[in-house]
Amino acid sequence: MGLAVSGEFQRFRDALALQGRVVWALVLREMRTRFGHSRLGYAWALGEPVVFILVLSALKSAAGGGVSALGTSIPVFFFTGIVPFLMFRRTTQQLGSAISANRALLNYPPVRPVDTLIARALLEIATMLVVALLIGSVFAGLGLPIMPDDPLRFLGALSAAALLGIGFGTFNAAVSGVMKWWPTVVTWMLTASLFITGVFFVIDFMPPSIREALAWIPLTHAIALARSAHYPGYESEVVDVGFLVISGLVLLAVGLLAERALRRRSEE
Amino acid sequence: MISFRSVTKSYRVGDRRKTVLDDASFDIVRGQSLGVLGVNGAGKSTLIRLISGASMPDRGRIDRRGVRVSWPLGFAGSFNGSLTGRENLRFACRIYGASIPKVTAFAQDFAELGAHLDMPVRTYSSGMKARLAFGLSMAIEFDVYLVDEITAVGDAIFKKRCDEVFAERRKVADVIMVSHSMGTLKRFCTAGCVLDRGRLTFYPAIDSAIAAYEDILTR
Repeated sequence: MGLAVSGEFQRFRDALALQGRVVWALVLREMRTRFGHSRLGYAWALGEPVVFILVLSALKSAAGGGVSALGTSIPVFFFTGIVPFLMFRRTTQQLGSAISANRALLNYPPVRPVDTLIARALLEIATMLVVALLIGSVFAGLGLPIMPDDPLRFLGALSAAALLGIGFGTFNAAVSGVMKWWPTVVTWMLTASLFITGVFFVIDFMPPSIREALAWIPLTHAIALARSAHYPGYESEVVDVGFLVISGLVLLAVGLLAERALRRRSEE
Repeated sequence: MISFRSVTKSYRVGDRRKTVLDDASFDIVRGQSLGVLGVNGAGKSTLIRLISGASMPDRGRIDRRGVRVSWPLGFAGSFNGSLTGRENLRFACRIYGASIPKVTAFAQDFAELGAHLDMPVRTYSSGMKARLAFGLSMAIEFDVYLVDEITAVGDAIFKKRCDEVFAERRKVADVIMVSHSMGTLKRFCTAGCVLDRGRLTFYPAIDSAIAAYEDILTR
């Protein structure tokens, strides 16, 4: 009995060590294919949010009378919106294509589809955190009020945004295997979400009917949560952390089940 | 030992389904070289892919219990075209926990790629890719080698070196082989099995497996 248990445990440990090796090998390889051959991959990872913040801040300063919707700094306001938004969008996009882009690697018997999802999620989250830290450091150097009032809560909002992206991306990866047009729909949804999830505006300042409609989008909650964590004087009445986290978990569970169920059909 | 438990697998041909295994349970024991026989379309290649883990069964369970199974010999489809040969070797070493310098040295020497090793794999000819894949699978010490039709790559001298190094590996490793050539199967395999209409039947001697297969052909 004792032997059987330790045998099972040994096998579990071996399987875990194997998966760890596979995921790490995939992370290194993704870094090489995405960032390695030209520095453009890195430039875009950092440049996208920077350009976004600069352009919007310039427009807002010129057109909006130079007053930020929250706090005193316009760039910081856009920073607190675009960082959780990109955390969501990048994990969604990268996981959505993880399986199809690594189809050849799945011929290596130890590499399973879920390993490609884990590897891309890890790399994307790490990249986004580094990008946020870099921009934040520059802002701090410029004397902008970039430090969140509740840093842990701000990180929690980013984690929730990542979880949403991982769930949605996993779901998309599974569905794209059998419905070739699905990635196009996702692109439309992501484009629309930039405008309606409160990156540019504060959801609490919207008319009640619009506020209630937008509250059905889980990402809206992650962005409002990030701003509530950042600004000491602002606490969004819309945020429902339970709804946010459960949405992410449900998407992830459905995505993983769909991946299993549809795997055979996408193999053919 | 590789165990199949109640494994069902079918694939689609046009709008019909072909059954490869129908609720099949069997063990592939270690210490033998196994020839797989079956008529065209019986699913021999699919069976090889199931054993390797590249394909999932529709139902049932395949347990490899820590047995390290190769990908089909010479198969180069796992290589990423935009990465160099060296980078592709490195990836395979990482997932199998093999030593990168040792495997690279062996594969480089064996595949005779020279400076091409640092070029993207997409610039390789199919022969170069196959040589690299073969060298890699010999450099990583697998317990079981899968062979889906031996395809000769390179000239006679290279072929002889392949035979030599493969014979060396076979002293400690097993082979599971699909071939249309009875001569090849007799040369490499001690035991055999016949895949027919969703059933896999084992024979302790390759000769009796070939006899059973020939019975099916005249059926």
